[in-house]
Amino acid sequence: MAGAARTCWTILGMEQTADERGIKRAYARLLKSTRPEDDAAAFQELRDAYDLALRLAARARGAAEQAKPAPAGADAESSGPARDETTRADAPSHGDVAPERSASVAPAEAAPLHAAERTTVAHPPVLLDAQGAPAPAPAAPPYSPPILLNKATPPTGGANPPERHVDRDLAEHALWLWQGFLERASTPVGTERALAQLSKTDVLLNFSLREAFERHALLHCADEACADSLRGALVAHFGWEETLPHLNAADTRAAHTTLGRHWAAVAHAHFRQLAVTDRLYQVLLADRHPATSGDLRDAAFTRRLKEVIPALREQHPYLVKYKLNPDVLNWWEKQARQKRLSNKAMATAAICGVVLDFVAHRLHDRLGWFPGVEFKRPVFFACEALSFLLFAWFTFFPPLRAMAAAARLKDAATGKLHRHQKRWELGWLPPFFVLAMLLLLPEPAPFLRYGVTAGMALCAAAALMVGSLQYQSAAMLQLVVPTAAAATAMYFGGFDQFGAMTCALTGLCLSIMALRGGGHAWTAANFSPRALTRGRAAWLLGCVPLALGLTAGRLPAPEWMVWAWCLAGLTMSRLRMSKGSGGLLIAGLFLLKFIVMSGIEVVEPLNDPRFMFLLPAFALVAVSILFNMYQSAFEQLHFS
Amino acid sequence: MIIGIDLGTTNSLAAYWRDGQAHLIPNALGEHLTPSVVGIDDDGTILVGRAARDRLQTHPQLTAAVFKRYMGSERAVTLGKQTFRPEELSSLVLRALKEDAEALLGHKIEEAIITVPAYFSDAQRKATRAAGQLAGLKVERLLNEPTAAALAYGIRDRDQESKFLVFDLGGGTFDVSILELFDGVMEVRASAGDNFLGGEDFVTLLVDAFMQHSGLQDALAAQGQAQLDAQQRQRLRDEAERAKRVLSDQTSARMAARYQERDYVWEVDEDTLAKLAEPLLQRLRVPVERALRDATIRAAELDAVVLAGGATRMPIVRKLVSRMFGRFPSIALDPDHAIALGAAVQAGLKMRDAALDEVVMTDVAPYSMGVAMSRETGPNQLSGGHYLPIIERNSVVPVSRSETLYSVSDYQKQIQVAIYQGESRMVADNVFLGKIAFPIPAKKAGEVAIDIRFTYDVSGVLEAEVTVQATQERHKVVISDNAGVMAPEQIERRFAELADLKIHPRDQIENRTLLARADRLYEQSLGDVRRFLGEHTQAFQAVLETQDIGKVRHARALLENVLRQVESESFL
Repeated sequence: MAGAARTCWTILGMEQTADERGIKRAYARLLKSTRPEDDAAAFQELRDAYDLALRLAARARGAAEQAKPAPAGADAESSGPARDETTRADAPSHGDVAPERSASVAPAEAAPLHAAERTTVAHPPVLLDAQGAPAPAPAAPPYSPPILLNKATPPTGGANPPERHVDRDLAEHALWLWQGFLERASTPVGTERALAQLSKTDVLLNFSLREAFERHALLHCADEACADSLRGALVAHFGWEETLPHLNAADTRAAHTTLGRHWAAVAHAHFRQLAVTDRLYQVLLADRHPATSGDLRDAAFTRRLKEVIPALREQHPYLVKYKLNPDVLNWWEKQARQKRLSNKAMATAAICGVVLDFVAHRLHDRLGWFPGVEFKRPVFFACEALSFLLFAWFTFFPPLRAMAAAARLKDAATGKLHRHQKRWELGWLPPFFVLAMLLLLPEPAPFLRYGVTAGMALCAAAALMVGSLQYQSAAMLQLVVPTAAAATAMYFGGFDQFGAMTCALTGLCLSIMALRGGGHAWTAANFSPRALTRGRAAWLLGCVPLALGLTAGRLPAPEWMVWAWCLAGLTMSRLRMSKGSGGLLIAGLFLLKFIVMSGIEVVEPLNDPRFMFLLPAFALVAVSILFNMYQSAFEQLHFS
Repeated sequence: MIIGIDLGTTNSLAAYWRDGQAHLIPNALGEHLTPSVVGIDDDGTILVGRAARDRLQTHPQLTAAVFKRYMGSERAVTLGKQTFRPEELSSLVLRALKEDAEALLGHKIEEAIITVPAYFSDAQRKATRAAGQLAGLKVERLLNEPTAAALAYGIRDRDQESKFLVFDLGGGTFDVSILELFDGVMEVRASAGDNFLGGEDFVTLLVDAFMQHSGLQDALAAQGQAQLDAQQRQRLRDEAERAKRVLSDQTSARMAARYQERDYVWEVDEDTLAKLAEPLLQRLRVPVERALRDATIRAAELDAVVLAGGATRMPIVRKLVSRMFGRFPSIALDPDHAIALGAAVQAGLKMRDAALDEVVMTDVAPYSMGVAMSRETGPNQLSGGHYLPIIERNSVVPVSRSETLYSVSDYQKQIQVAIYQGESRMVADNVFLGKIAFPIPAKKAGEVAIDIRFTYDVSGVLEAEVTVQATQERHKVVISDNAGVMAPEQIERRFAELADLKIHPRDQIENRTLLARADRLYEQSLGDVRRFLGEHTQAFQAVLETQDIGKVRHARALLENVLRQVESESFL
């Protein structure tokens, strides 16, 4: 600012000053040699300097005036003592000063002045209540609205002495009108009626009168006590939003406050509408914050908090200033910044624990690891604990450098691939299904083995890419744990004919499918939500004979069909957890695990470890789908 | 020499600057106002001005008026076998004014300053420029009408320091400007206006009211007709125009019309007109208020309110102005002449006349100009179609401003820049000017920046240029790509064609005008009067054939006398 100011004064060739006249003189002198039609660039520079200088000068004068003890209005210098008095009376506050004034001053002082002025008046008294609305202000009767021709000047012009009285008369009239208006506008219905009357009748035809009226209105609106509806109606009626510069000249503070409050009210109404369906805005608009909130365990909720709060502060500063409780906002912002284990992370950890336990089980059985350890509950709990620890470590001590590297990698990779996203969203699934089916082959030929591995690698690359476009790099890093677990589980679970590499790739694809959720992809590819719901229901129904068969010790269908069924379920589920549901899922999982652990003898006769691997997957998908169905039904109810 | 031309909706006139003063240029009839009416005479020559104005009633199919309202649009008028665009009709008026000036000044006129309503859009301004070119005039500058009126007033007391408001209600357009005068600087602080509000609207109002109240509407409805034919309609319009003028100095006026052997009469008084015109008067307030606000001037700070434009003669308009400002408006200059005189002042400024050495005038852009953009309404939420003004209304011209905008979606391949003019928050409510789409480097959202620079010159012509920051590629936005604007080649071709048109010889225009007037009165009157008129007209035509200048002058005076008599007795 200082640099610009110096330039503007040097361009004008003068010292910094608050003297408007001097600036104008300098500008006029320079303009003679820098005519707008000759050198546009030089003229614009001069003009910008002039505008800036005028603004700086006005600000300097404003500051000087405020420094004075006496309350001086913006227009005080242009009018005589009578005007000054009016301004002073209006300035301190709004509603409460006014009535007393009109009651005592108006009838007494206005009358004689009128008598003096009436001779020039050819206008009938203004009728406020043309439609038979309630009578105007009680203070009104002895006071009749004065003239609308406030200068009895002949066309040739020239100063005339009664001007000052007329000015005061005008101020009285404006005050009287404003009070009448306010009285009628105190109810929401009245506001509309009173405004309609204002625009229908000619009461505010005179610009000076209207300015005075608007000033009263502005001061009233700047007050907190003014109803939002009345303020909104006045802002719209007088078009204050568009004429801020004009308002600034009249009363900067009141104008800013009024508009700020108005915008805050508009934004508040908008967000209240959103809050009906959106928990996030509901908590932010609340008067107070809770002691603790389960919402914070919802990763999506917390992430949005982190985005929304700064956005609110930036885009709706007035809303934050006038309507929201700053404590609430600060509290949520602070909470959002804290690291905590989200529901989703916990659910994933629980699942990983189950898989880990299974893997350990296999290692013990097949390779003779952990000799002497009896595989019972303690090991399961140890696996779960380990899994939770891993996730907690990731959450509380995130590998920032690795994440940044991943982000860079992702940006580099996705730049060119972005436009294929839609095609790949579902495109990689069919080949993956075929390849996954091949995994069931007991004795694959070597070429098939390498072919499947290569194909899986391609699928995994495609899946990673689609996933990486959707998710942040941190989420991608989180994939590592479940993928490793799934790969090991598969390798030792009977898919070992194809080698560890194939298992790892398949595991990666499966993890992405499970974490990312196939349901999302279907909707992204423009499948109707209803079709998805039907598919989910059909899948769940199909699971019933499967579960019954498993408990009876037989597969109700060929094994490839069971495997395909499981994969199909994965594509339809969507792991989405809000408050509470994560806990539900974890509890369900544990319960299932216990059922399975206690029922191992029943299932054992199947003698096919592959289905041991499938079981937790089935359980996860089933619970997730159930939850998705419940939630979409709930949302539909809510939105209709 | 540059002349100043006020190309009005109803009347046009020209003026020039000499000896430190603006002078009006009389036309062939010795009048200052030339009606903006173009017609084709019976012998195929082009008639402009009063004669055409009179033939509007007798030959509505061969005559065109109020074409200024259609400037910048494609709306063509067919006169006889020929079709004219609005700018071509305007060019014929300009050509007539040019010839008047050449006759008066005795040398060729090739440059002119033409006034346009401040609220004229880019297309309308371009059309006006084209009209000048078609008339063989180099348009030195387009001057806003209220600015011109203000110049005419301001130049008279250029040494004073004052602020005044110009209230310019012309035939078809309404403009308001606020002018500040200090140290020889005439600074337009703000302009506002309404392009479709003028004296003609008051006439339409009277015509409609007459139709209703005199029973003519019912009579028509009984006949199963929707409206009068063109000829009768024009006659009724003239009648309404007359009544409007009568109401300027009398309290009531009588309107009469004859339809199918029946007379329809309606008496209209001042109060009725005021009541009828209430919606129009309401519309007059809006621009005044806007100009005051934009200029950040309080009504009380104004030193004067100045009237310009013929329609401000109406008492209801004057009354409204008096009540709005609480003072009587100033009418030191004839409202019809103020704009042309102001244009002549500008011509003087342009010619660097010594008398105007110490005077500089600055004008403003009357409306905002900007581009369409998307706005972030929340995290990851965009809403399109928002308006970003780049040049704010009432910026002092010439002005050049630029804004930087960013891409909104990841890897977007192109950006479209659409230019609009107007004040609404959403572009859909503003006037579309032009657009351009160009490729940008595919990067993440917000990483591609473009600079959009708008340059608006003193004549009100906008240029827009877009620069892609990363590549420094420049793209110019074509604004004239608009059906309402003629391409340069088209102008050249039409210029040649129009030059071939036979214009009624200037020295004969006086006689032609008188004959047209006689014809009009002949059609309007009946019985004896009609016979009486017919005889006189024939006699005059006989004298014309002799080509004896002395005799013709004598006969002309005689016929004029007769016509005046017929008109004043109002044999209607």
